[in-house]
Amino acid sequence: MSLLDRERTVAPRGYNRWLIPPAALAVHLSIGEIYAFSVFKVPLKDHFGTGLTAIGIIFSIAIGMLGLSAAFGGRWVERAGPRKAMALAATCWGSGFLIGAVGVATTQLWIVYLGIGVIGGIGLGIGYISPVSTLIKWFPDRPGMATGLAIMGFGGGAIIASPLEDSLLTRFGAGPDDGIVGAFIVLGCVYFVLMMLGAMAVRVPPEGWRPEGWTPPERSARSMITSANVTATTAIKTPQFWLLWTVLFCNVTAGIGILEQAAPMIQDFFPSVTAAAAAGFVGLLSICNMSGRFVWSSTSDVVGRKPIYMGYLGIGAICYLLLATAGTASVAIFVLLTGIILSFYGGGFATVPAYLKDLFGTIEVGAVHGRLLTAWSAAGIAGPLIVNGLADHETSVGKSGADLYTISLFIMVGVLVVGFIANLMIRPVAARYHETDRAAARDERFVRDGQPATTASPTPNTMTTGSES
Amino acid sequence: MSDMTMHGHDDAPAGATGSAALAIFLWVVVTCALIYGLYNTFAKVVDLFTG
Repeated sequence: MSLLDRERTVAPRGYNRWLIPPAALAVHLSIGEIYAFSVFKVPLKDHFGTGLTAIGIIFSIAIGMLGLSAAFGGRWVERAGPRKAMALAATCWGSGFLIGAVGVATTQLWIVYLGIGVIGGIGLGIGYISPVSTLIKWFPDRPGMATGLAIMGFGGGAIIASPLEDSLLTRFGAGPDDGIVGAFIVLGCVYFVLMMLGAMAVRVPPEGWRPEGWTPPERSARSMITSANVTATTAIKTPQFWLLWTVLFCNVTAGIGILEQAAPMIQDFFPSVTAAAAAGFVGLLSICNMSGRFVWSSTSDVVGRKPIYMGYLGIGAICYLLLATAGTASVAIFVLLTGIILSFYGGGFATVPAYLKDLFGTIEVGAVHGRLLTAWSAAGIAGPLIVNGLADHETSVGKSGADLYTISLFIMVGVLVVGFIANLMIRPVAARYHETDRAAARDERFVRDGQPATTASPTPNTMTTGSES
Repeated sequence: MSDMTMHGHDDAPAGATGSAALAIFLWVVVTCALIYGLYNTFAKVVDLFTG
């Protein structure tokens, strides 16, 4: 039996569940580097003697592959288990940087596209979803907090990578473009080791496990939280999946519109803001994005998933409206409003796995999550397209400053209202989509990770001790 | 704090002890990495309000 097999990762009785989040964080902090990849944009442009668009394609391919690999690899991740999935992600993400280094050393941009874009992008997608269902199974009482903690790492990865990459570029070359190869090699090795350590530390709960002293609360027929299970294949046939897809799409579109354009936007609103101060603003938004993932997702365990999304989308729409009408009043108001919007952007990402668990159960929540992440890829195209496209258009008709963004800010209000309505329409999944107990009994996935087929769970005393021995 | 303690050491195999030690090491690594990132980011944020 391989060390990476799911059976080898079953935790023994009494294993402390707080030993699981650092494994997830190790993976998410590593793959979160992709948000800081812009640090390499100018050095790569100078090295290859090409335009920023050609360099920007690396990021676009990586994010596209993230969505595709999460969507198509989700069921494999559920089947293979978190350790094998994290090890694959580590191999792809680490080797992606090493192949990218070869591309830079040989001045072949297509090799960088292949390495960091395609292969690294697969590592992003598999790595992103690999710890999600494991954490939900370890923390059935606080799934929002657990996934928020891990997905916070994806936001935090950029905060760590950005200064690290700056210092690596300086250390390895006289000019930044001379240091790219060395920086890529170091990053590839560091991320591979860190993610593999995460893979070795991760454990799935034993059969029938539940937190000490915790019993699943009684559910009414109208409760949003199900005790049944829906497979990934069935989930995408339900209206709830597509309503939630719309919710995520709208929330991400609104957030990414600001995130992508943050530095020039604040300088257009306030011409007195210097480039250094604009960089500080981008850093502050990254902190809001990261902390929102943990704080709001944890809050959703208390207030419920549907109400918290009403907050993300409803309060977010009000913030956008205030930004459009009173954003120029002062830098403090502008920073406050955009900070709130970005915290909701992060919160939306982090809360969605728990929302999926509430609606579809835990059996294939990682695979359903992977398919839902296609909304992220779509929003990654739509958000910047709206803000950049309209800003270019407004410039061409002679407008300047904050006026460049007025229309796009109002469009974002509309986008968030659409998301708000979609969220309002989400109801519990109809019983006809649930897997039956008989089907569940035939399917080993229902019983092996502490999620028995029927609602009558075994007591903690009946737990197996795993297969470590 | 009882949630943070290890129960049932008697039937925890050696592999699990290794995983637990590795996980504690990872807690230290990720915490240090986040402090490094936050420190460097806050240093830039100061420019926003003073620069």
